[in-house]
Amino acid sequence: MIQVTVRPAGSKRESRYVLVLALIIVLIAALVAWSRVTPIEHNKLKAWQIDARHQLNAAEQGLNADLNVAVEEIQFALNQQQDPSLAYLESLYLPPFIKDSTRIERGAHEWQKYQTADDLLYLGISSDVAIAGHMLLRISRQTTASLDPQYDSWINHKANVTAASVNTFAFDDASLIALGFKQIISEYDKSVTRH
Amino acid sequence: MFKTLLVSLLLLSFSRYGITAPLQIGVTLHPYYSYVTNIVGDKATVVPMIPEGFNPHAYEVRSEEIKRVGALDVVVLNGLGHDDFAERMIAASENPHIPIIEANENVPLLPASGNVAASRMGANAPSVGGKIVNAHTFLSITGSIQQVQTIARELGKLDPDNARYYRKNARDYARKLRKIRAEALSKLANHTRQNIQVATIHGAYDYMLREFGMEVTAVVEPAHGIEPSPSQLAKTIEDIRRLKVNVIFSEMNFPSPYVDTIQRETGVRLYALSHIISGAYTPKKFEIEMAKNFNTVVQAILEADTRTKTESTDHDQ
Repeated sequence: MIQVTVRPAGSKRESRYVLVLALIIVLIAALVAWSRVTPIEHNKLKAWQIDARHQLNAAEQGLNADLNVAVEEIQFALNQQQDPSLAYLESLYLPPFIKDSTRIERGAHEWQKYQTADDLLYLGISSDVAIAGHMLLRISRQTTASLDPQYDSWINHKANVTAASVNTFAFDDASLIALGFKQIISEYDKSVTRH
Repeated sequence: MFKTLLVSLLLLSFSRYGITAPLQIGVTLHPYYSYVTNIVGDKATVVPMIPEGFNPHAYEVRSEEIKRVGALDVVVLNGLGHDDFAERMIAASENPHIPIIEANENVPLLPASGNVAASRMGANAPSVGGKIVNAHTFLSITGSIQQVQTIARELGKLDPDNARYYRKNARDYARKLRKIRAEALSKLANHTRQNIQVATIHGAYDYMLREFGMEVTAVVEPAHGIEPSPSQLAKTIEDIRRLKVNVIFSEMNFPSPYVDTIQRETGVRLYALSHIISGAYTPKKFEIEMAKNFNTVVQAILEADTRTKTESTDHDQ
């Protein structure tokens, strides 16, 4: 007698195969995605640096952007043997040196120009560090003929910086750091969807 | 022999190293067309990479435009997410190694905003990994001047004979732009912005409003360029009420029923700003539309200040 086992009609087995196949596909896809992840690299800031995007408030971000823009005009004046005085910068409508209506909103800074053997400096003493810290723009006088100006900007949130105390300043990195200034660092990030 | 010599001389005359042909400079967005034409004057040709009438937010690359890219000497990019299509066009062109000028390389960037969740956390809300930035640096005078300076410097490196000319034009253009801002701010001498809570429909105006000393409280954009659903609209209205917003900046091409509903339901006036990414490419487009934008913001501040003063007088009585 021949016995034939006939399995009941149904798709249980096929469903299982499809499920296993789907799981394998998902696993492979996950593995590929995981292997292609690139870690987000952050510029590690030093203790005496501050990030312009995340660590400055809106007023300070605005001041920093304006200072960066002013560098071109200051450098041009230097190249023309002209004194980039505060009055000269104001005559060019150059913020933050021009006394416009955002001044109060941004801390009502009083600007002073200083000069060392190497650098030209513009220091803005804030009337209220809670609104915006004291700002300093430092432009190298040594490289003014180059196409790319050498400059940096600094911020200080300590209330005890006054116009009188500035006369004792040395404007090198170590002295500025000792006085509580932080160098402002702007990171350039291209669009994340570019290749 | 004579023929060969003649051909060689002709080729040399068109070569970058001989008597130079004017640079062909590709740009992706309207503001960059204005920037670059003002920098180069008649010493170079500025070529828009996408034709008029196409929205760069949703631009699909076409073969005829890719063909044109092959003839360019350099491309100026926003690079922050507003013209991501450009690199794909360059890669697919006959000249995939065209030099690129990253106009925003020296601009201090702000984090991206664009949804209510982010705006709840304030304008400095960290984006994914802190790396996603607001691409609309061209919608501000300071951001634009900084890009103009960078573009002029970089073009000068590619075309040293005209480097001084480019830098001079860039300075002149920057002065013209600065005047727009100075004139607008001079109208606000006795008007405070402290009582103004600003919302924008699109997260494009953070850079510009910062020039007025204002921060954007909320970006109430459901999805850019897409008609909002009734539930998205209801949520937007709820957010505007909850955040006590008293000025909203919308966009010129936003659907008016949407704008009217927000205005009617919240009682907050909407002011339309230009995104400067549509219409004809012209050298003056940027300065004209930015001046209008600045005037609109001035009007909004003056009216909000008057309303606040009236309300406080009524309250005192």
